[in-house]
Amino acid sequence: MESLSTRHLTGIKNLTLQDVELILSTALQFKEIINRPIKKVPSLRDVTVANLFFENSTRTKLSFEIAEKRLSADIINFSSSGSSVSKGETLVDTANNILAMKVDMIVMRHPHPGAAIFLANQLKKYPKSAHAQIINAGDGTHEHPTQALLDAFSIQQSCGSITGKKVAIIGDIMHSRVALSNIYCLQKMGAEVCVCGPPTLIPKHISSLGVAVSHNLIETLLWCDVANMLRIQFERQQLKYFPSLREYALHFGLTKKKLDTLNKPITIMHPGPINRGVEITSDVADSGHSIILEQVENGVAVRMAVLYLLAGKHQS
Amino acid sequence: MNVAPMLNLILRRATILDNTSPYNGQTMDIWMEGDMIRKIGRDLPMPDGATEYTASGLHVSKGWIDMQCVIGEPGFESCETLQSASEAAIAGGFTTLCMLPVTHPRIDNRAQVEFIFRRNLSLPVHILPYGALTVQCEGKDMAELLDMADAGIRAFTDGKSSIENPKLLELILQYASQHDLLVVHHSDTPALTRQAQMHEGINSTALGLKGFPAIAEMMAVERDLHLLTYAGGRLHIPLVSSKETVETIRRAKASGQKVSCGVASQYLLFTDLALQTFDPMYKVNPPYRTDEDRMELIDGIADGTIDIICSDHTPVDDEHKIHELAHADFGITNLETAFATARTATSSYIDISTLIESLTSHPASLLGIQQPSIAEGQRADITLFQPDEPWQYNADSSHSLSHNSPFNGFLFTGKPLGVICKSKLHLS
Repeated sequence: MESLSTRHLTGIKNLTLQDVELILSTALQFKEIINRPIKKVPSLRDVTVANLFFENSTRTKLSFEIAEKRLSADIINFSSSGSSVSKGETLVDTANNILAMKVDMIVMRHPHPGAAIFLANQLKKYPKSAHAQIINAGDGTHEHPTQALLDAFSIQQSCGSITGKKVAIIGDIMHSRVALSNIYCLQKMGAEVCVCGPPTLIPKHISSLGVAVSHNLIETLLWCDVANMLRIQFERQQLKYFPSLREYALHFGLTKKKLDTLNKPITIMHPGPINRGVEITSDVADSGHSIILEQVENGVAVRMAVLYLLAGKHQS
Repeated sequence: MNVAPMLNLILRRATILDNTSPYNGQTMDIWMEGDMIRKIGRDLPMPDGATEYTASGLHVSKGWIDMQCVIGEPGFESCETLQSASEAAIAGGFTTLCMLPVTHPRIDNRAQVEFIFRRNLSLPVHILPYGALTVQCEGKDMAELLDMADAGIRAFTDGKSSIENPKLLELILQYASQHDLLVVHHSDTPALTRQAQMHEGINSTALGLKGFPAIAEMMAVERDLHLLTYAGGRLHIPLVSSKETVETIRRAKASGQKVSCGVASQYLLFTDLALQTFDPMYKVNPPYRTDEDRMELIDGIADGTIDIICSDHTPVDDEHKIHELAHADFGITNLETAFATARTATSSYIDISTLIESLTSHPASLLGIQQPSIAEGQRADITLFQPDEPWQYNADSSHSLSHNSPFNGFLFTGKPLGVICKSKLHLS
């Protein structure tokens, strides 16, 4: 069996192109499986997965849970509210305590960049926890690798090959957990990437990653094959980065009227949850060009692939 | 650590690096008795009852002064005590430590100053406290600078808290100038650096981390220089980290402003690439910046823009350091490795004499410390070291109570051997 080059999935940046392609090709098989009448396979039987969510999440958590259940894993769920974390327990202690219950894999959502890499490095120092594998389910504004993989998978499904495709990531790049992973993943696969939004929501040095930067939505839409609309992350903004939602929607919101001026089809994506009427209007989100719900479906298949391949790595 | 009474000691074949000594640059025997240097010469006869010390490539200089370190006592004794800091200082070749007033309680009044001075009497090295600029280092009300000056304090700082109110800093500079007191003010523009974890640049972008923009430091320095021109007094900028700041201070010095500045040794070695694995041991304030910045810092030492090299020793216990980056405290322990770090980073660019001046005569001059020369009849306050000796640092053998060092296993060039201080020889 082909295997990944890494024991953990902490980000896209440290994956090889072969890793990404292996995950996506495996996801294709799992997508077929989850559309069968009997959706469950025994691949992760006797594997225990802990979903550690130190920050709110709905779709990512549900998606991982369903993926784990479809693979027959045993699951425990943990969220920081009401747990010992709120009493001051460290991340490493929390992880060690859970791993002492003979847990094999940790899926972790965390508010702070680098938390997954930090945890993976720390657990090496504890013999009873060193076996554990970490899957990053989003660490602040750093990476959200499974989202990027499911986005790439969805683009493949919708547009064919990613090589040479022009993908625009539009909106709140500064506070996004998905932008960096998407950039790394799409570039590895040969796509051109542009980020678009008001200058205050785009990191100053982002062009050093090899992406184009635009502050003009129409020009960006004319350029791209795929537009990935990001949510405004109000909860992460300590300041007002733009004057009003009205002004933001006028300049950077994707509307049917703007799409109609392009005279070309564009694939519309959104990692959710959507602020309808802000970054995207309902008539676009629900249109035939939108693959937003396909992304959600593909998320389960991609996460099954990641869990399956990492578990295989562990068993080997 | 070996401690012998320094009643009667002869150093054999020690190269003297002290530009105030008639023996500067010469390799000599040095006989010390009591706390005095009795005789310097070649092949001195063995004095009665003397012990002898030598090492290959042995160099001596005036005792090194660390102009910026944090010591946990009083208040944070689990991180560092005055005694453990003294032992770490000996291992690092320092005979004088200038401790920031960020203890608990803060050193912001005469009673706290006198507590440290009393404790200093029983310590193997000299520990001099800074007085706080403002009450509780909160940047609101001026502390009793003159009362602390009467107790013996010559320099004041709020540590790494910057005074945001320009009027308050202006008043402090004016007030301190009446006794020629040194105002040491950390350069930061807090509104630009809130929640920052590392240098803002290509690497912070790739890691998704909020960064310290270099302009936050430069803007603060420029503001403070304008206030210095307006108010008078003496200003020391303790930790410069960016190319732009070095250039700004270079221009200010050329125009005759009474400004000095320092750099911590680790900034001469590391860049922001060190944060690639989110290792909290590389989380420091100000942050490690780019290689271009690092090289400008070295140039700044070479051309005299940067006056002093310090350790910025900041002991942090594991409970506050071993965390995901956002929750980890800033700082590293560096008393034992400061010289070695600076020497390793600069040996190709800066001669050893310049490096030693940044650890001795320059800080002494800023702080008004009368350092004795290495000359007959002078008090012995000396550091022993090997400038070109390769060695490996083992954090397990550290004398500091905290272990937040990024240097475990690191191969250095340049090794401190010990100090002669307060009438005793203390070997590392």
